[in-house]
Amino acid sequence: MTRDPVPEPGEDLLGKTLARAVAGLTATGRLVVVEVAADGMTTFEIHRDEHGTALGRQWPLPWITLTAEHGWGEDARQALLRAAGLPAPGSEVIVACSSPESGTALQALEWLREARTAQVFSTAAPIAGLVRDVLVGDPLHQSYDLVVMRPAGAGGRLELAGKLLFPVGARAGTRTELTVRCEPGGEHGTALAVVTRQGREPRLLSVHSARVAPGPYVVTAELVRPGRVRFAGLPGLAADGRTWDDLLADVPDRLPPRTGPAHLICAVEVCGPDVKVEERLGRARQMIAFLSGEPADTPRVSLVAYGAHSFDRSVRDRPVEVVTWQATAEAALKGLDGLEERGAVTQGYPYHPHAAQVEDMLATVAARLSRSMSRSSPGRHVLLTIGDRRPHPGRADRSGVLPCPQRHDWRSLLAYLEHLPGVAFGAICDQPEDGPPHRIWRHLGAQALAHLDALDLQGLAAGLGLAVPAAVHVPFPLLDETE
Amino acid sequence: MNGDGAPRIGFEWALEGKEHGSYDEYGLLQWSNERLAGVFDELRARYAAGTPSELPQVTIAPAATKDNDEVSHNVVLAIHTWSDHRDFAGRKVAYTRWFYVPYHQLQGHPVSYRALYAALGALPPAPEPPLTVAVPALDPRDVMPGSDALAAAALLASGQQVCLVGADGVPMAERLRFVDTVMALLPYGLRTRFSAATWTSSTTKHRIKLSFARYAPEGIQAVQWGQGADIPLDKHSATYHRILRKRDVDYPDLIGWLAGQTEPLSFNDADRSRVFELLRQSAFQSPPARPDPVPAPPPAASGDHGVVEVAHRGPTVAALARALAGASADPHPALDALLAVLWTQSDRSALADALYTYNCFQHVIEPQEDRDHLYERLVSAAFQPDEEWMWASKRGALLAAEDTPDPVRRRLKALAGPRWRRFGTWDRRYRLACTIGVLVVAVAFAGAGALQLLRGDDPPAQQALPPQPPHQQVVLVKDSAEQPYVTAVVKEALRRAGYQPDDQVQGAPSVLIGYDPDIRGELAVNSLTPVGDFPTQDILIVRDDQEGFPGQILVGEGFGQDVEDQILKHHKGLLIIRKPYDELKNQLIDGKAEAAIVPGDVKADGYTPSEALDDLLPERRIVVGAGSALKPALEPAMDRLNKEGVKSSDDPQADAKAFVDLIYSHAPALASSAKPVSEPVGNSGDVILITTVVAAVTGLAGALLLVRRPSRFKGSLTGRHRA
Amino acid sequence: MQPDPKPGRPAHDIAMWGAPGSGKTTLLAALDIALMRKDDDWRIVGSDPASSEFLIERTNALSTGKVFPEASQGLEHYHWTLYGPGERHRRRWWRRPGKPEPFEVGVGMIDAPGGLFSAGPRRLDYGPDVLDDLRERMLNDLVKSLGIVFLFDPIREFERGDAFDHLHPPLKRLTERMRDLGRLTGGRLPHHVAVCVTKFDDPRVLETAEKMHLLASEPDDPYGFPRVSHDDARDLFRQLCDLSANGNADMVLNALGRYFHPDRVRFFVTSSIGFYVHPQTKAFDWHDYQNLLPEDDDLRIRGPIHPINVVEPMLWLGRRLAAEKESPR
Repeated sequence: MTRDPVPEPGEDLLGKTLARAVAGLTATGRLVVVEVAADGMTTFEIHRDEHGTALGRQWPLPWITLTAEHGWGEDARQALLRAAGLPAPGSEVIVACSSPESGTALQALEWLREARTAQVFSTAAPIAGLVRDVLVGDPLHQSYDLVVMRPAGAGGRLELAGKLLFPVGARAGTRTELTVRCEPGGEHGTALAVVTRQGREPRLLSVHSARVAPGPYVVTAELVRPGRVRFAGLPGLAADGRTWDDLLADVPDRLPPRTGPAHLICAVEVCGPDVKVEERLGRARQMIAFLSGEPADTPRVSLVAYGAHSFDRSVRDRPVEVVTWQATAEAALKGLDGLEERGAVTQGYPYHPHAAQVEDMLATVAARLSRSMSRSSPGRHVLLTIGDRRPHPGRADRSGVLPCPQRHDWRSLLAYLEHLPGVAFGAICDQPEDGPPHRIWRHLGAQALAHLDALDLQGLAAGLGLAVPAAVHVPFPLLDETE
Repeated sequence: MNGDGAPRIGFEWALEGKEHGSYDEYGLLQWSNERLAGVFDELRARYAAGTPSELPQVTIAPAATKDNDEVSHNVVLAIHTWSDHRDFAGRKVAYTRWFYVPYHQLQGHPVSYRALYAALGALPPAPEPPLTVAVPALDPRDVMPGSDALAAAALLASGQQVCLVGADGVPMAERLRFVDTVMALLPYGLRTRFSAATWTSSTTKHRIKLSFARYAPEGIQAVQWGQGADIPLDKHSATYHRILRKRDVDYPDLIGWLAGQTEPLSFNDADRSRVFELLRQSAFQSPPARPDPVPAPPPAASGDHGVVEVAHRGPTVAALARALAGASADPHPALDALLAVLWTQSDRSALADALYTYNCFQHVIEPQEDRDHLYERLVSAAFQPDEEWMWASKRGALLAAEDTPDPVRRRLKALAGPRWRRFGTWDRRYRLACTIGVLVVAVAFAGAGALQLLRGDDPPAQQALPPQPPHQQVVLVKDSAEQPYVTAVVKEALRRAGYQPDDQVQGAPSVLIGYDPDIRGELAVNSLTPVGDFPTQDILIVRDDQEGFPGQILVGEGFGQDVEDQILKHHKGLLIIRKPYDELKNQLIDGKAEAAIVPGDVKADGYTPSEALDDLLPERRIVVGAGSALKPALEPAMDRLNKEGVKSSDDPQADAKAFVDLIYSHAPALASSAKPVSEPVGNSGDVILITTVVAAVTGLAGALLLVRRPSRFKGSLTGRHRA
Repeated sequence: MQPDPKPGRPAHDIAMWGAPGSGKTTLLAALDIALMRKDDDWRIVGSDPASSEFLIERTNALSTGKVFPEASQGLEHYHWTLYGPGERHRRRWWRRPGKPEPFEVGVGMIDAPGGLFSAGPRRLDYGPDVLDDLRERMLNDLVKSLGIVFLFDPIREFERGDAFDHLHPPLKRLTERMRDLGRLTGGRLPHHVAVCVTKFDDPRVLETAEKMHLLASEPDDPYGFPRVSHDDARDLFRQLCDLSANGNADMVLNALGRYFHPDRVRFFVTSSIGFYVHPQTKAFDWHDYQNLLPEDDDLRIRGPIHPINVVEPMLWLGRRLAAEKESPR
């Protein structure tokens, strides 16, 4: 038997070869390392997972077991080859021998060589540790991103984004640091999720979450080894078993706006069927009561009631009634009592049945607001209109609706109000029976538009910036805008 | 019939209106029977009444359909109501529910329109099959016609259209009741052609027979609600109206009978006589007393001298009046029989005379409880408003008699129209004024008279003496009725008046005495007017020694041939000999004749009147006609004669003279109320004349001043209307 | 209103012709008000109590009650007399012009429900030539009357487009009937037609007129109402026909031109209720001129009524008809 000479043990060479082979391993490739020792054979198989992390498996095959089962002949040879996974087309094979003196080992080596040409290295010690080191030292094949939420565009909408933690080629031990802002994140708190991107789809690598108080934090991420990132900076960080879908489900699409002291102007239409007027006043009451229960800041409330125009000389027009202006919620509620007692006004002939004094109301509000703004510092004003009729036009037009007797033009009034700083518009409208609602309601409900029957108070208030939405939480850290 | 007793009536229906927000005109929205859709369209167009402002309203229309030459009639009822919809222009939409009821269902079961409306109106707008509804039968007691209903029914019967005006505030239910009332007075079969509407527009031309409107359209007769027709009714309507008023039965019976006449009738001329016939039958509820001119069958030959129906003249009024006067127990049948035979004017005149003669049958009517009603019937039957010329004097006579019962007196007084001459009906105020005026004049008279006396003029002649003509005038009195007594009276009266009756005078007669109606022609020829007429009866006088029925009877030449035939028919073997009157008289005087028929006032010695032929001998009227100049001279005598009757006398001349003396010896027997007489005294001096005239003028002026007080003055001087 | 003192005076019949809801009855109701608002001495008087009643009631309903008349259901006939200041005679050299004779014309108006002008329901048992009773009567009235007021409703045309359907059937029948009676003149109908474009006060119509620069106000009009002269009325009519819902309306113009003599047709732009006049300014305001006030499903009139061109068609017809009667052909 001719035996080729076993090369000299050189761990460095094996190590380098292994590292090179592992680095060159593609996502689908496999590396087979066979170690032939005196007592048996160990086969290592190395491949990359979806994240590009190199993973290895090993299984030993003691000679005793082999000879016991198969003797030492052809059967044994086949079993040996099977155990080694040879021939392994398409994969690289590296053979290492750690005990060149053993005859069995030599025989096995011979068989292996016959099956597959491979490099044979001689080592002194078992190479498991070496393989492990090589795997740990493998640089990243894919970049690791941290999932954050970023405001997108105006309007407070949020979008998911990935912040690069470790680029491709980063090795274990790399650290990065980033500053994030955490918002209340629900029961799991804020989640630090590491993902790798394969194309467009992110794949979750690991999730750690912690319930932290809202505020900015400096988070340090350390690449322990490929596939494992360690975070520091968030207290109470623990591993989280949720899947990507679970995490996604908790993502809001709207940033809860900043709340602050606000001035709520409630404009209620008190003409039309009694039932409707009652309902509208009820909604106004609900809104004011809800807001006054907010712990953060009690808003100032103004209550305005408007009806319909009279078009007959004999019946006087009822002007817009400002029940309270920038008063407390209690005063406003008392004013509501009075309105509810009075019920619907301006009903029947000669009051117009299809339109209301919306433009007059806008004029009144605009006048008052401009006065109060010139006096004090601008705050936040929210105009909440509850009604369903269209306004009178400023002059006779094709619609056939009679023009406002005072010739108020709702378009110009709305434009003026929209340009005032810090004014938000919300509306509770009722779908009219004939056709879609008038286009003014799109403007009056620019920030929040709700239906009279199915009203979500919390959502409406939140939409207007008057309340913090309780149900909304941000599971991922927010990336500060400054970055 | 179902459990509640009202039979069910089948119908078809259609709904006319517009869809909500529709751009179209009114049209049929739904209907029950496809074949009838065209019929309903036709009805809609034909009976459109205009645009109503107040709903609901009801329209009734006829519909006739032809099916293989067989015409079937139907009654259509339309109910107009407001719906909740509006059309595209925002105007209210009216729904009309048309109901179509085949007439044959109503023939066995007549119903009123109100019942139909109540039953059909309660149905939903689109009724589901089975299309039947329970309608109670017509109740005749439910109808109470007023004068407007009578007028409307009369006008409808003559084929005219009627429009009720002045009913603007009356609710629709009342108007529908009125329609029922009017149609109840007509045979039920007319409902197959009848159309009505509880509201029509005054400016729409329509052909609805009975409508209500603010103003009557052109060409349509207007009837005032609650009152009657404005203008006098035409001939046919007047007849119908009279039949209704003179009915013998009460309204429920009349209406019940008419409701049974369900054979279809039309309003045209063709069916008019049948309609009138039916009404007459219903009004009297017994075969008419005067059948059509066919010879009546002769009675039993055994000489039953009961009341015999002669062909053209039945039992005479006089006979029946006599029967009534003699009625012992219950006068109602006799009264009814009496009133049944009043068909012509002379009958009525006879009745008026009978009333006078028998003192309004007081002795038989007074014990009755409904005496007022009975008197009313008698008076209204005898005294027709349009025959005033005939009964004027009779009425006066009745009023003059002291024992005329008060109901009769009232009725007679109320008869007169608003003429200023009827002083008795004037208002007390006016009477007072006139009386004062008269007193003033009388005082003036007395003063003037006293003045005259002092002056020594002749006292004025007796008042009320007919004026003496300046010279004696010769007049010819012609008697063609062989009434010596009457002739004598006439001549005597004329003599008193200063005329000289002379039989030998040639030329046209100035006074004619003759039998009605033969004399009328001659009167007209000679331009004479009747002054008086009185009944006279020819009587049969039989020689005293004659036993049984005479074998031959002498009659005057003017004796009616037909009467003669009748007598001969009843008394076979009798011989009737005509003789000139003078010869007849001689025969009577000589006693040669067995029996004779003479005018009732003739008396002959040795002869006694026999009642054997009383039923056959006609009662005739003697008419005295004279020229207008002679009238005043004859009037008093004629009146008196009328009252006392023509007597038979032996010596007509002496009796006549006595009679006339009686008349002219004391004050006139006429009305006790004073007349505003201001006759100028005959040949008094000028001063008297002037004084009297001045006094009279002042008196009248005073009276007028009293009367013409503006604040209390209501209406004209002509007094009140007839009660 | 006293009845006509000369009941025997012949009246000229004028028939109102138009689709349902085009404003026939409203025009008649506004006639009295229009006459009273005129400066010169015109008045209208009923010839019989029912006609006077109509004038009184309708005037009251429009001016005080501010409601429109309900939809007509039957064929109505009114008899009125128009009295006005006469025209001076032309001065002749041998005669001094005497006092102008007052102008007086008796008018018999016929108001029919608009639906009668459509083709009518088809009935299988009768042929297409047989009309129902009301249409027959209306046709007789049209034959008798020599004056027609034809109302064209541009809003209905815009929404529905059936003006031609309400002109063509009766026009055909009328022509046939007149031909049978031998009364066609030159192959055309002898009637005088006043074509009234109604609902001038509707913003759509007014704006169309304004866009075409057809508006002008009379110098002596204190209110300054915009008007369209009759020369321009025809152009406005044509323009409004273009806005029709189904494009048949231009046939209306052609039919009018072909069936009637051109010199006997005149166009008017009318509004029965007129424009709204503000009580303070008492003048027409371009920013607020609508005189209609909606009330639930109903429409009411907002302010006082200033009818526009309501009298002029009647007067024109009256004068034409009177002239024709005086000078028989």
